[in-house]
Amino acid sequence: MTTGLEIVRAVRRGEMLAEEALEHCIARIEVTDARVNAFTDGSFSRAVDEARAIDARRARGEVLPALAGLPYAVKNLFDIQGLTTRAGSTVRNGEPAASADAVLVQRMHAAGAVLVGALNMDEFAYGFTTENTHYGPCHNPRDLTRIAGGSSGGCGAAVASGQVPVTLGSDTNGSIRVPSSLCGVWGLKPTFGRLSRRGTFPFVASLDHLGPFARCVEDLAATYDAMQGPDPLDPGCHAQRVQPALAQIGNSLQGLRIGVLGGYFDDNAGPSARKAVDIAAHALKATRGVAWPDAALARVAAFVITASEGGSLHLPMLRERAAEYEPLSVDRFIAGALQPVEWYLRAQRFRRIYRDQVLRLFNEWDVLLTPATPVPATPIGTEQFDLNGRSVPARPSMGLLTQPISFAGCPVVAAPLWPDGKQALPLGVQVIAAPWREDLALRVARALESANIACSPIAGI
Amino acid sequence: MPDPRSLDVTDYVRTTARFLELPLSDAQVERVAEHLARTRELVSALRATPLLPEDELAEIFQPAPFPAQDPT
Repeated sequence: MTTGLEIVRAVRRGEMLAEEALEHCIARIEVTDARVNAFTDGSFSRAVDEARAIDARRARGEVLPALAGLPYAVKNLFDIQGLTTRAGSTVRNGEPAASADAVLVQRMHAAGAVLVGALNMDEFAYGFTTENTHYGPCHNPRDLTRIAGGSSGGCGAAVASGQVPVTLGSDTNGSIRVPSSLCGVWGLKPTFGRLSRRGTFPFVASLDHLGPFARCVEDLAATYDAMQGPDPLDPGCHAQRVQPALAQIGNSLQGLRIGVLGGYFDDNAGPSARKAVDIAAHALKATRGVAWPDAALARVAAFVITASEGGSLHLPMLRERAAEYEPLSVDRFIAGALQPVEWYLRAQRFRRIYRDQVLRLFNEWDVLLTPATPVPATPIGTEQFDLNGRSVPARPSMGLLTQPISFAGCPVVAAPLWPDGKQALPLGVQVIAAPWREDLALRVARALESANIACSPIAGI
Repeated sequence: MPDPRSLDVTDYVRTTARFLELPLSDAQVERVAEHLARTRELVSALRATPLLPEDELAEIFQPAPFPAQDPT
């Protein structure tokens, strides 16, 4: 399959029907998904209608919108009109179907994109592995015995296996960047407050972000641009206007101050992760050893806020149906619901100081680099892995390097690198910019792609 | 002899869960207490971080947007 924007251009020129592009995707899903388990729901009938509508508009000579004919899928926590939003759970099976699409799905529809279905995830987004007990684990297309990462595991796997060129996921503590890293695809976690979250099932209102996955930076930026816009009905959407990024991704890097994070981030990076960031740093002539403030404390504070808000959100349902929750996360939800409020308040107060420290760092730097995961994808079922001689719990430790960054709300592109060769497992590098500067992160990401340092080929499955 | 620190976490879990009307089996109480005890260890660094009275929450309630213009 070609990239998303190649499909859009082919549809616009009349070289391909949107319905043909969709048929290619559906065929690829049918061939691969029994092994990958990325999809939880198909919306093929709706997709055919959307694709035919695009083809009809072209036949009438209309100017087509920016993503006309682009097939995509969304994490199972986005509302899709007519489907129950299960968020990877079974306890929501009896809930009414969504009466409207999520805001970002509405914006993708307005841009002409074609919604193919919903994707596997950790239940209620509480996890980094997508080992979903109810719907089965999502398998990494780069090695089907390994995890796809999470919690947006289906998003990473669907893109890596060539089922769809673009997916939409969510990231609270790393849930876009971890699967991007482990599946070898591009991911964008925008600035906290950039994109509307209305119409998605929440996890942690103080930390939830939404964003796209893709196999090239151009698709990532085009999708991101199409989804931008203020939303006064989402209290967490702080963007006042659209700031398009696609047109700027090819701009020169001259004058950009690019650094590599040391300290905590180096200590928690395994050999492949260090190699990945070294490759990117060398290509970008980045300065080593930049100190990010209070990363370890930020991770603790993010952990506490996640547990408290997530536990509080689910407390009413936990009282009645805890036994039906994901066994891998239910005890953490309960523990979160019982946390002392003093911990939560300290974490939120610390966050304000932390934000100011991080903003000061970006007076000296434009873009900072660090690995997205400590290690490449682990085998499904792994309980512990070795991190520089320490045995660490596998599931929470996949977020060691992402949590401190999202806690500050900075935009990050996860760039797919191949530190051990293109035949081995990928590992992503986080390209981090100051809040509201997605354009810089995407520009540096595009430079890595142009230099063939980072790339996302379709997995050969 | 149980570790006294884990014992008080178990008591805390049992009591707080009852207060919140969250039914837990003995096995669940033990598992949740393990999580909470680990979190308590992690939080010790956060609790030791000095915070001044003016270090308020990251998100502050705003009754209405600040007016763009002064009233005439």
